[in-house]
Amino acid sequence: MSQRSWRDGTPVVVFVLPDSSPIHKEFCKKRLGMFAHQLRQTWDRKVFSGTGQAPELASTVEEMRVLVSKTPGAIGYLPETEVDRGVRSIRIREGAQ
Amino acid sequence: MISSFCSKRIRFTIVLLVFYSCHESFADWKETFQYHGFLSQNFVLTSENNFYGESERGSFDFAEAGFNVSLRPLSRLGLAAQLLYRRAGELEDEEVRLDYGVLEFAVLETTKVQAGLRLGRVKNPLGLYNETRDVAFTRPSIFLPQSIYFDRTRNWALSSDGGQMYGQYESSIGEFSLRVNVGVPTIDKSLEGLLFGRNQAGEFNGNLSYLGQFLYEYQSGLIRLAFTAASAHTHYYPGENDFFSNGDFWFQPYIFSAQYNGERLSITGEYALRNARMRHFGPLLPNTAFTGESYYIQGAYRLTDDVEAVARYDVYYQNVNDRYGERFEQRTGRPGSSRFAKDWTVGLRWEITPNWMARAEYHRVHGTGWLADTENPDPQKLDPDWDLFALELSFRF
Repeated sequence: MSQRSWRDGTPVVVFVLPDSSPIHKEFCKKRLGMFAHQLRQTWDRKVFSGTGQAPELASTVEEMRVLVSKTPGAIGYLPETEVDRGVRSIRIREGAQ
Repeated sequence: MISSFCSKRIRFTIVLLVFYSCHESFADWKETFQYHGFLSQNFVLTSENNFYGESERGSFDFAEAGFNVSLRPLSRLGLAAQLLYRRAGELEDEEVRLDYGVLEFAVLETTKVQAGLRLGRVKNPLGLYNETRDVAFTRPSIFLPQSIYFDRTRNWALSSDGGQMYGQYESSIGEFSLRVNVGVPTIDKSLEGLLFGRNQAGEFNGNLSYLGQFLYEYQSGLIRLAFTAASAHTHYYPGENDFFSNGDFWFQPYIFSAQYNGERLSITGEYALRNARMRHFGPLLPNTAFTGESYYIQGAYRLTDDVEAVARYDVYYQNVNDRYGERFEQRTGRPGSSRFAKDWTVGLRWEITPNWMARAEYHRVHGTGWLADTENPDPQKLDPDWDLFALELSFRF
């Protein structure tokens, strides 16, 4: 989770939905194995100590889809029904978070 | 396709996605520029004794603001800096300072292992909260547990001018990380107040000091265990007609930290031993060495997504061989209750919006061990049993 660039050197640009979004909460819990408030704490610690950067905020699902498809190196999450050809969904191997 | 989970409330699948394009894989580095900041105003009211201004009458003399920028011009190179403004009653002078300013080289970066070097003014990872202690949103309460995170002499524990080596490894049983700071502590006049009782003509300069923190995090922080050790050295250069001579002050804290972060409940405990040694300051301050002890246990409960309640018991002893200051009182005539403090705290935090937060908290304190002489010039007037009430409003972006 701390990796900041892809293998070709492109910066990883992480997009998240707002903390209050149920999709964000579910994603944190089920995919990252952490609670949304923990993720927020971790990022705050990095951002305000000079040891890391914050994720970019997408305010809606639609915005998430557009931003991820427009930004090189972007990574985000969407309900399956919102996935289109501009983005590619990836498989997460068990245990490799 | 991944992640076919279903909950009763959300009946769809969330997929992780990545940008997919064959013709462009080079990001503009300007895209990595970020800025963030915060602003907090506090109100402090005490029944007796002063803390953060003339708090017996109610003090607004506690405010903090910060602004930071960061950039990754190359995938292995990062830049970050933060300016900090602070007003803190008579605890220290109102000031704007460079909180940190670092140039980072990522030497090794894979999905499992990251290692590198940060050069410049780096924050000291001392215990769980020191690095972002001035950011209200990252604190568990308006005031950090004073037994470990003294606000009286904070500046010289804040950062090091030098560098930090870091390494972290994400294993199947959790993440291990090690950080080592080597550099000169940033010293100000408050150290003279602590050691000499008041400002003197000369000044302290930091010598090369070391700090290391080992941190283990299970399940992205569900459980966090840390051990911090530091060895800080300073030298006093006397001024003209100074009462004190060329002396050395050496400080060596060890901090054990443990934290559980559940969905609703968080429990945090830290225990610290602090070795201090003073030498060659002359006849007025004989060579001395002592060990202090500090610990606290804290519970926080998220009542709703926006409201959290916190309770804490925090204990401070300046000298483990004279915990309640009896011998100190006999020797100096100053009250023994200024050598320890036991602080019961309860508080509420309300996240009004993701950017605005308000807090209220109450402390019942026995002992005046972490109060500052600069705010309470007459030690005989200190009341060993006192109450503190505080309010906080904070904004961040």
